[in-house]
Amino acid sequence: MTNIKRRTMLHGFGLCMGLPLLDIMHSTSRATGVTSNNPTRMAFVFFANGAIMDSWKPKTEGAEYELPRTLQQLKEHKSEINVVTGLAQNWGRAHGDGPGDHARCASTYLTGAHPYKTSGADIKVGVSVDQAAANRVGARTRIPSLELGLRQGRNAGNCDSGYSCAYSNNISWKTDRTPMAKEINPRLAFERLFGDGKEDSESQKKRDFYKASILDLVKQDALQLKKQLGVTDQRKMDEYFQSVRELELRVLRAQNSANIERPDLKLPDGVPSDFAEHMYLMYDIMALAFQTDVTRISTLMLGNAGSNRSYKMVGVNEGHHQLSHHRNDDALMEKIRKIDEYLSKGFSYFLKKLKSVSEGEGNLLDHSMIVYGSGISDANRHSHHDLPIVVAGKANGTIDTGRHIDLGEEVPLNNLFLSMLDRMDAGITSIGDSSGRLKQLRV
Amino acid sequence: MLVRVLKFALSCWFLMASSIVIAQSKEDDKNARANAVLFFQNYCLDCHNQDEAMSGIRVDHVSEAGSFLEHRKSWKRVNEVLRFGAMPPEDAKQPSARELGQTQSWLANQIDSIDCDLIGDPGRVTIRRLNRLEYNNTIRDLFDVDFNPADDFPSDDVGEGFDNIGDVLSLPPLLLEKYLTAAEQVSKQIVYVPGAASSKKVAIGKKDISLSGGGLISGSLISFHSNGTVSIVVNIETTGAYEFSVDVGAQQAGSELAKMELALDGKAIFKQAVSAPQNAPRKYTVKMDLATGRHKIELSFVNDFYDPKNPDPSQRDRNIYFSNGTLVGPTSVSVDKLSVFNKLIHDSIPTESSNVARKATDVLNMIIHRVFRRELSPKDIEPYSNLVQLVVNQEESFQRGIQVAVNAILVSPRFIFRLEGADGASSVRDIRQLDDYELASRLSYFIWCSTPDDELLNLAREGKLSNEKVLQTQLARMLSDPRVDGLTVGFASQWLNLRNLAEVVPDPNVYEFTNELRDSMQRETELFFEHVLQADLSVFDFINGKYTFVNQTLATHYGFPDFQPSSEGEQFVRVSLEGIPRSGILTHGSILTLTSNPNRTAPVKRGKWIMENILGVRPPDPPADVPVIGLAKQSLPNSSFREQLELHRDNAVCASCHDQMDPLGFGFENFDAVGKYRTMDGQFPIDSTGTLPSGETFDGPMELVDILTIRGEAFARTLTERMLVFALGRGLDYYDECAVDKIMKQLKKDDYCFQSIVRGIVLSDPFLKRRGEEK
Repeated sequence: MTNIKRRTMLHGFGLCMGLPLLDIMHSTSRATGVTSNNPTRMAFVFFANGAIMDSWKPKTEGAEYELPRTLQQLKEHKSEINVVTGLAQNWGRAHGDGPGDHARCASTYLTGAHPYKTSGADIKVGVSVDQAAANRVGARTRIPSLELGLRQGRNAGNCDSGYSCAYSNNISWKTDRTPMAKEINPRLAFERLFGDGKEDSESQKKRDFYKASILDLVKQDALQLKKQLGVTDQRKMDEYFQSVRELELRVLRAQNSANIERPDLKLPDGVPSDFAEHMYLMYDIMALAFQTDVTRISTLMLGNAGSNRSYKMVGVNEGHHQLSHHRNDDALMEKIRKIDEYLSKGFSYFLKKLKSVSEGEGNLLDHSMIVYGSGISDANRHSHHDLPIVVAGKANGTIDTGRHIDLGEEVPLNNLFLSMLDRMDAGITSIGDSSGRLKQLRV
Repeated sequence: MLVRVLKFALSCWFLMASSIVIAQSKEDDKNARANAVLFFQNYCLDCHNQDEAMSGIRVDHVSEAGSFLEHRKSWKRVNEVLRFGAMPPEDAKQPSARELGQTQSWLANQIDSIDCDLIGDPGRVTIRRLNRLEYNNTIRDLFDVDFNPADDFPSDDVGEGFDNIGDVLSLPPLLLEKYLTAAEQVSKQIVYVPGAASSKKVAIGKKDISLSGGGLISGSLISFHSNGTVSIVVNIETTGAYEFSVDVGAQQAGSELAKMELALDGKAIFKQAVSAPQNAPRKYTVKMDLATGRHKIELSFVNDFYDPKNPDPSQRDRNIYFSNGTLVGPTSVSVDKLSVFNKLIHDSIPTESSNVARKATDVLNMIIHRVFRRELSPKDIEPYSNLVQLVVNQEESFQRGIQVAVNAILVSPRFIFRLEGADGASSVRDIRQLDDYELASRLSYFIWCSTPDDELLNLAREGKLSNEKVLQTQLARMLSDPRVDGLTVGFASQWLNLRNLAEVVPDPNVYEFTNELRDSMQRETELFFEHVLQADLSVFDFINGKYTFVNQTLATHYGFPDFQPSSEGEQFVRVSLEGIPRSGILTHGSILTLTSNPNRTAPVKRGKWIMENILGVRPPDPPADVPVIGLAKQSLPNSSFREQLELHRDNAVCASCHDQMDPLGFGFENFDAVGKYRTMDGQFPIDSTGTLPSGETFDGPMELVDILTIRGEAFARTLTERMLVFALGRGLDYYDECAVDKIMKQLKKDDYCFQSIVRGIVLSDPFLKRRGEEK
């Protein structure tokens, strides 16, 4: 715990910043009828290899439940979170595709779609919930969405049983074929949001103007080239084209919106070698992005699917994935519980951070909905049902928190996502394998 | 002609009972077919039919013509599973060994019978964007600048074992943003814009800094507790005036202030007594004129004072501390000192505003075809020249305009993608030779992981590169060029999974393991690869070469007592392994470590690695819910690791594969999880004996290496296939086996010399040709 306290004090950027009050920030949620001056934010945090479920799943339902061991780390936020059990990602199962549950764990987590098994050609899964939201409402902020991670993708050999590494390394998918690569360097993530602070606004404006001209030029070039290509190659050129379009919009928005003051955050030059420092910085950056309303949508991968990193800071020297095949051996399970607790503690830091930022009548956490979880529950059996999921935040009063919501066995995780998309005003009627809304988010 | 692709060694290796008879009579053919169809009906069809298709496998179309081409991948899996006896499942009806053997060999035959004369399909490569390595190398070779902008790019996803697969390389908005930033960095470096705004920090990397005397580097701080000098070597691109600044603080003692000296290229140009304390250093700035080339800046502490017995502790030690040394410039440059490109820009500065675009075209012509890797029509250059006009219209300099145009060039799809077939090739049946420019790029990105140089582009422009003789000469030239390290870093490090070594963290409670050791291990294998390639040695050296490359760190780690370091310290030296129980890459620390768990060896992982990389067989994936060793330990507390691991082979399903993998891994048990040689594992003596399913027995790693060498042809084929994947940037399909076959035939004639494979790939149809596609 001491670690967190120290860092909380170090990064007390807290309350000093005013938000530019733009019209678009007054949102009325159509789905919920609640009016609020504060935009609703959504974030998804992913951890690898599932969790030891007997220490995750509360014994009783409703508001009077007791937090089990792993989630004790979130004790101080108990009234602001819901533990939701009984959610499943059905398409993470083999469905005839054989092994590869970890690749499927990450790629189905936010998509609820079945990844096409390939190690090269024809990568395909589905649009993820964050990108579905970003596609619809991302234009309201300077950056439609923010994708963060702690580890580069593995870059040699096989990632998981004949699946391309793209499936293991990404949870966010812009289209069913284009994963959104994640930024793992805190400094670069920060500078992407707030600039490097070295340029005055005049030369920044000029640079943006040139940028727009360059993008327009290469866009025309891409269109020209595309005509001469075959279908597969055209798809690649489309990807390029889409990215150019998105950047154009971003430059345009930057030109037309008020300046956002650059927050103060001490950052190392490279990727921190200390895991804790790295994780906390990424949470800091997510909180800052939400606080300044640079974006309202974010994802964070704490590890790539099937991650085999060790957690020496809690005395676990073995690899996480290696351990997760614990065969119900309690000594091994105990080690994983330590990892589970450690990562939950990190998540608690994030919630605390959000809570520390006042906004309107409440705080940033009140106006957010943050999903913390994995696409696998019991990694020993690679099960894709009864997933470990916590939903934190009241989403501007549209989620009643402080409860354990037990949905039974097999409710699509995407039902939760669809309900969250409603709260973003995305106007989407179904996503992936969703079969309806999750009414249980309200009492 | 019907070619039967015979996977040498595999069949006899895994199923001794079955010997493939090549010349079967027609009657036999018919019978074998009928028997096989019956086999699939009896043992497989229940679960693998049109309706159920478990694991995505169907066998109901076994008797259909064309089934083996159309469903080739699926049949290959079936073949593997049968070969390992992993199917039918235990609780199902079991075939006799004879039935199984017959069907398997019939199936192998069906899969391997390809009529190369009929097929003639070179395949189709999806256009590839540059990956991180290629981007860095390309920028380096285009502009001769030494920095790696792509290090900040998101990692490239891997497919087919490599990160240069066109289908897998995606381009999300984040990456395009990074391209823009990188382009701005590059154009700033190569285009000189007059005025202070253009001066920039000269990069100072770790390798540029060296110490002599009593200095100590920690992070960005260099402290001197006794007299000494820190030398910084800088590489200046543009001659001009520069400013060097450094923060200096001191701890005082004795009668005078701490003194520093700054020398440029051996001549002292600045002396200073430093009064600022250590915790509040003062910045000193020194102006210097620097010409293009390398210069040495030396900072020295010159008046050390040490009196440990002084009663006042604050008067005992005089030290000096340097931090944040930066060199900025050039603040001004005279015309005759400009680089060729910048001189051209300077000479082209238009006198009339109406001339800007035309003059810009003159300038861009110098670089644009190199960046885009082909000749361009004036019409294609026009938009880029117009961009210069646009900038000049903003009342900025012509030079700044060129800078912006260079930015655009570097984010253009013509640079980012290696375009092929942008010439309107249309239908699937259209097969054409690559044009010479396309060929130049394929060649340079295969051998160098970088852009084609002027010689290649000139040959392409003259239409000579596709001439086989020219091609061979160029290939030989490229293989002896230092840029060939692109093939090592790009191909070898992925083929052998070396890149995963960075992720391995041996348990510090069990093993001593430093990053230096890790880097040394990786370097050893890279050097070995480069040596076999450049000296054109037999590829079997990878298995049994009795030499390797070590530095002092590795020599100590391996326990080579007689190691003589070269005069240059940590440099690697080639050493003979005669009389030492090591040979080939299988005994490299790198491979042994990356196939181990953090706290122990993992013979199964090693066995699997050998099967996949040396024998070219991918064992079926393990079922979920597999036990780990820990549990066995409880039930057999007084047994060796090997005895515990043997337990899982009691289970018939597990045994089907582990009987193949485990002995291979156990053969290398003499090497611990970080590649050290050992004869004991705790209290238990190492047992590295084994029997392979084919009946051969061995005692220890060297005897196993001998057996593996006998199967060298399988290894050579695997290497060829992997390299072809890398060269093409796509997975292989059935039609590629014709090309692989041809390469193998020639390789045998060439005594298995490595360059024969590289040459074979470059001269193969899949490399030289391209199939069209519907639009």
